[in-house]
Amino acid sequence: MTKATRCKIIKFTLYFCITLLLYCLQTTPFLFEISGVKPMMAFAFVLCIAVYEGTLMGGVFGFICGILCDFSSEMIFGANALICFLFCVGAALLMIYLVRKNVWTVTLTVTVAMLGRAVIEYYFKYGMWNYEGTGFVLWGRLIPVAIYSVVFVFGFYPLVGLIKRRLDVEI
Amino acid sequence: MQEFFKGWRFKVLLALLVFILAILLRAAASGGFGDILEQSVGVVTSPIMKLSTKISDGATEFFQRIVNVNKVYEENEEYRERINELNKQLIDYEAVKKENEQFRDYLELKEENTDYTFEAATVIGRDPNDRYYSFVIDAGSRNSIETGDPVITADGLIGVVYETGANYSKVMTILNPSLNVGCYDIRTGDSGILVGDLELLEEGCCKFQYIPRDSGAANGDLAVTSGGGIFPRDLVIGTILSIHAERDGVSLYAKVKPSANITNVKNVFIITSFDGQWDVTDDENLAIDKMYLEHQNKKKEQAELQEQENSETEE
Repeated sequence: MTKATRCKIIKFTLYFCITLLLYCLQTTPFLFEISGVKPMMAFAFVLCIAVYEGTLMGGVFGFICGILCDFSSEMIFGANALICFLFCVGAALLMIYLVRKNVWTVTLTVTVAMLGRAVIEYYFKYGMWNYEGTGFVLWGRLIPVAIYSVVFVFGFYPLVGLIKRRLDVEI
Repeated sequence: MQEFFKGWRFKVLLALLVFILAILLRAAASGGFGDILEQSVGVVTSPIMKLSTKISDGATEFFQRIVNVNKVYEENEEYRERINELNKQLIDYEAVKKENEQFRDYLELKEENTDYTFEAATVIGRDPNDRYYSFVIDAGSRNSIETGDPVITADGLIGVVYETGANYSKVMTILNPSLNVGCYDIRTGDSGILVGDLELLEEGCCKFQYIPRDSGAANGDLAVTSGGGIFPRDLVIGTILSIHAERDGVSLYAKVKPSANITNVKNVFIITSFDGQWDVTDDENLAIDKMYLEHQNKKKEQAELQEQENSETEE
């Protein structure tokens, strides 16, 4: 096994462990909770991985994060996996072909992805069933969760960049 | 962009997408759960989530303790105030309880003696140096109390008021040798005078003197007031403990244990008026007075004789 392969394995293992840790933290009762709103830190982190690592690893980590979220979600199993996968691949493509990568563009991308996820969740869980008064769920819960999660990008984006710089070995 | 769609990465991602869709469809078909993948995720994440929750709970508890110090302090102060309030209520309760007991005694006495006019009072002071247990009560001339009014409890006679102020009175007890109370043995009817005695005081008793030599008075007899003068008739004084002959040999005397707890009395009643108050024409009392005067004269004579003998021997 070459040094480059070993570094890659360490890097992706580290990403996986951090994603798992963040998932556990975000599902821990009352932790990071502000007025009943908890952040989706794992999703914000995998989006940061996607913008750094590209479509394939972004998609894989999006899938992993989605599966984890599905475990504690009320949505049908696999729905979060699909959403996260698509958003991560989309974010990676955006950074590769359309947008220059920096903290602000990444933050904007993550914001759009978070809000997009919130709207999709709202539509499939509440909107399409024509329940009354469900608007509050979108404005009072899902969008605040998305905004709160974006705040963590300012920590995750440099962290992923640091890990990548340290462990990426030029062949 | 076209390179991406043609490349192997896209194919892998496509395969992954198909895999996700397959999971989704399977989950939808089987009711949303029960997939092997979900079970596997659960096996991996559950212990970590459990640990994370434990750590989080510990940390939250720790920080909440620090954050809640002020709240706990306020609660503590609140509870302290409440305890003080309850203590005050307890004191009030004890006072009301005592008052209730006092009024119950008062009612009993009132029912037994319809001619009595009572005034209830509480002992507010005692002179620690007074050997005869005299005390001060919280009722005075403002409450129609006058010098010479008898002081009693439901158990029996205590003494007499010897000084009154506007809102206080001083009471001399029957243990005091200065107080003479006309009394009689309720069984035999033999009368005499009850006085305090320094020797008997140590036992908390007083002396029932001038009992005739032929009296049938015995231990356990009840001594009560003979009435007239300042005391009403038939007020219980105490029980005769023993009978002795006087030194002069003329009469007998009895050791009487007062029925009322004179040394520790807290609440008393003052009889401000009763039928026959200051009525000294009662034959029995006159007889006692006569006997008392005779006894005094005899004593004087004896003393004079002894003085004469002494002066003669000196000469």
